Amino acid sequence: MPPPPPNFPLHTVSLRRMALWLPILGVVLLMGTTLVLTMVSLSVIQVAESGGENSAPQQMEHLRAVGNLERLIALGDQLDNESDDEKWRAIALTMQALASHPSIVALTSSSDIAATHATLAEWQTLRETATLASTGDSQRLALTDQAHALWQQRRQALKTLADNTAVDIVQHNTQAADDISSSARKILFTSITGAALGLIACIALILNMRRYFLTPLLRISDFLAGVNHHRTEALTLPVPNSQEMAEVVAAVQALTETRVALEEMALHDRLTGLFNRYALEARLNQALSHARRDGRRSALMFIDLDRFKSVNDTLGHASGDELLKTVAERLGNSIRETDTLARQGGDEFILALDDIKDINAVSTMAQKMIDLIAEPIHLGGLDLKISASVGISLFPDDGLDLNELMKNADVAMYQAKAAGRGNFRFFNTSMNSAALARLHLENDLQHALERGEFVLHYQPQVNYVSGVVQGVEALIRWQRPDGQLVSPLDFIPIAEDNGLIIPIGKWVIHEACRTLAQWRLLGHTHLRMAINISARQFRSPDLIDVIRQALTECVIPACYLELEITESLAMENPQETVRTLHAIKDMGVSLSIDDFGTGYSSLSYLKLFPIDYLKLDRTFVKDIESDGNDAMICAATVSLAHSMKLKVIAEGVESAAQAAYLNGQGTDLMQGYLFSKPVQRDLVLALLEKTALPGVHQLH
Amino acid sequence: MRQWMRSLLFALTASALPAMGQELVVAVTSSSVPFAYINAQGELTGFNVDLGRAVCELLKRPCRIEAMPFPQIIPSVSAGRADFGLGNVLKTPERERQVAFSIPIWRSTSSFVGPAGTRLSTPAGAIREKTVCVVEGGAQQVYLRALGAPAPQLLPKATNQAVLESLQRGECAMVLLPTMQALPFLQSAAGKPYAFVGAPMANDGLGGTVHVVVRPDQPELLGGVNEAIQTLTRNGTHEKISRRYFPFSIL
Repeated sequence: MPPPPPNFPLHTVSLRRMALWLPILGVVLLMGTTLVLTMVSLSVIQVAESGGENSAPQQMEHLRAVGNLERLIALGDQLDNESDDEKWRAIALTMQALASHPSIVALTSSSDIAATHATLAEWQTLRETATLASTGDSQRLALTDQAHALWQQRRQALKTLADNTAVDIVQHNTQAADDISSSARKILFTSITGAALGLIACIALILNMRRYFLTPLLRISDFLAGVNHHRTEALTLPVPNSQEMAEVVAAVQALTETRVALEEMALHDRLTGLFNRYALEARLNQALSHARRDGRRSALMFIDLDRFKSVNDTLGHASGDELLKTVAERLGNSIRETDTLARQGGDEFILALDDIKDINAVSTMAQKMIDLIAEPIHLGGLDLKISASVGISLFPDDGLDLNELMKNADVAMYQAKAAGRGNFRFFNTSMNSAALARLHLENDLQHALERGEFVLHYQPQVNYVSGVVQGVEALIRWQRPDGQLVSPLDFIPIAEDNGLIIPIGKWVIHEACRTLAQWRLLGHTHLRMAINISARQFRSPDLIDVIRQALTECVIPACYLELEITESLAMENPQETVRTLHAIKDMGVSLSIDDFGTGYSSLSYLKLFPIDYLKLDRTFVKDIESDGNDAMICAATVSLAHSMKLKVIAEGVESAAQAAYLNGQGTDLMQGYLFSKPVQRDLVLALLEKTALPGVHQLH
Repeated sequence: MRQWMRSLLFALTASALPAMGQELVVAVTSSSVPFAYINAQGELTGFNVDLGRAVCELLKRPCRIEAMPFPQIIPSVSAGRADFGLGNVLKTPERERQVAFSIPIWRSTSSFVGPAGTRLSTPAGAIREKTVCVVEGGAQQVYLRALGAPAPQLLPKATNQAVLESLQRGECAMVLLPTMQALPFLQSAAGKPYAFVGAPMANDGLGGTVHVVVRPDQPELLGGVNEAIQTLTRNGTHEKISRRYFPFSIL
């Protein structure tokens, strides 16, 4: 078990206890709130009922009593002023009936009721006396006053009773209203407090959940995801804030470390740190399925150190291990990121190359591995020189699954060993010979220049009308010691690849200039020398210097030198081309676009190129007679060139008919077997002598 | 064919009838101004009539008002010939054995009425000296009987109107009637020679709450009637009807 993280906090909570107490607290809080709310609500309902429902009949009773009392008083006042006897009697009867109505009786004492009746009876007597015919006016007035006073006295008593009852009603209602509104306020306050408490509890719960559960869990999850995708470097485990989470974090950390260690052990070779065979197989199976899907080509190389056993035996295992480590380091440093290097055990390494575009790159790589291993290794005071044999199998050519590829690479490796160690072999023999041939060619090419194996042949460019040779195109040939001539198509690409083109190109320019200088001494001063410039040469910064030097050395006016670049090269980076062409043109050297018509020229750039000639490609010339389209292209090219003030040289003219047609279209110069194939210097000289001006033989 | 049509018709009518509600028979006292009487247009009207109709309306049942003398009201309701009755019935234990009582509809007192100027020392004295007419079976008869009124002196009559007519004919020297039934008579031209004798009385069974009597075998009807009266009191209909017939609130 690894120790807990160093920043393990001292104060941690216990999730176990939290898991117990949080629900208990929540339930208690909920129950308490519910209880308080229920109690408050019940008390409010009670208050409302006592103020409303329950006391309503009583309140109504009181209201009716007050109403009846007021009615009684109103009737009495009416009686006090009533002069009509009929009406007076009717009112008095109503008052008698009303005075004893239970609603009024309930409010007061029986003596009070009796007093009202007594008043009414006395009033009636007074009234009857007053209305007697014998009663005098003054006496009647006195009786009326007496009756009035009597009523006022009773009226006062009745009014007091009514007022008191009314006040009681008002007080009761006000009290009830106050009670209800204060209770409503209480329940509102309690509700808000409860809600606020609930909210606070919820927020606290959420924050706690987040802090103690979610955040640590998410970070652990991120960490594990990172481990699964092999990007542990930026990820860390959370600092645990609870005892239980601390256990989880410690466990995750321990398991992860174990896992990483196990993976390291399972997938890597302990000595060199390279993948082991198991890991290689896993990776390759994946890579092969991708290659299969995308239709890519892959290569598998078995690299075996020759005679490693003797190193082990003589210098000891420690030195042997040291040697293996050194080799692993050298190989590891020189591979691409997409390649996989593994040690299979013993002295055998495996290199898998993904996404191969060019087989030559594989053989180059194999050779590079052999060369890297061949460099001296300083070991125990000795400089050891060790060789390696490499066997190569290709996917899908030599096998569709890993086993087959491995087996075939192994077979190829033994072939390499049998062939004398220190070299490589493809499992596919045809590829072997191609690779070998190329390797030999490359090797020989290295020395061809110093051994003087290159020669230049020249092909005349003829004015059809006059038959005069106006110029020659210098063409390089490689004459191998065995007398075999190698076509430039075979070796120029190799020279382009390995950079030999620069010295070769330089030699060509000098050699051509020297030849031209000799011819000039012999009087052929009108002759122009055309030299082909390759892509790498064209981009080399010292091209201008090489030309200038050659012209100066050979004392040739610049205008007699012509450089040819192909249309596709010119259009690769037209702006750059314009600059370089101008630099060359500024020296006075002529320029021409070779193979015109085979690439995709942009006329707008062509216009910007300071060129003098367009060389009409042989593919158009070839079918002039049979293909109307080609004939039209030739005619159009000539017309186009002339409109741009350029001269046209037709290449590959082989028949008189072709020549006649081209001449008809106004072609300026022609070159081809009709006039002469590329020939050696001396043969050119003979031709020149034959057609030398003025007016000797013409070349056709 | 005819069979199922008949059963269908029966099913339709059977289901339709309860929705309309069965007719209620409401008993009211006849000739009792202003509680139940025939007005100038020949229509049966009065406080009890209006209140009975309002109750029926709330019960959502059609109503047939039947006027009958006061003594017949309780037997009719008790026997189920009428569903409920409004006859200014005061609550007594004996009556409660026969019919169910609703919540109160108003509160009553009783008053002696006699020729103007009649003086009365005590009711007990009065009935020994004078002939008194009462409504037969009413609380007043019970009261006077309990006081020991000699039979020839106590003349029961079928209706309120009959009691008052006896007074006018001189058949009886005084009458004892519910105050609110006597008042309209006294205030009319015919009642001019008469007056209340003494103050209205509410004790000894002469006054108190007046109820609707409901047939005792239908407690749900009693509940419905009570609920209807409560609603009518609360929504002011009771007060409106009361003011139509009385100069003050009688509840």
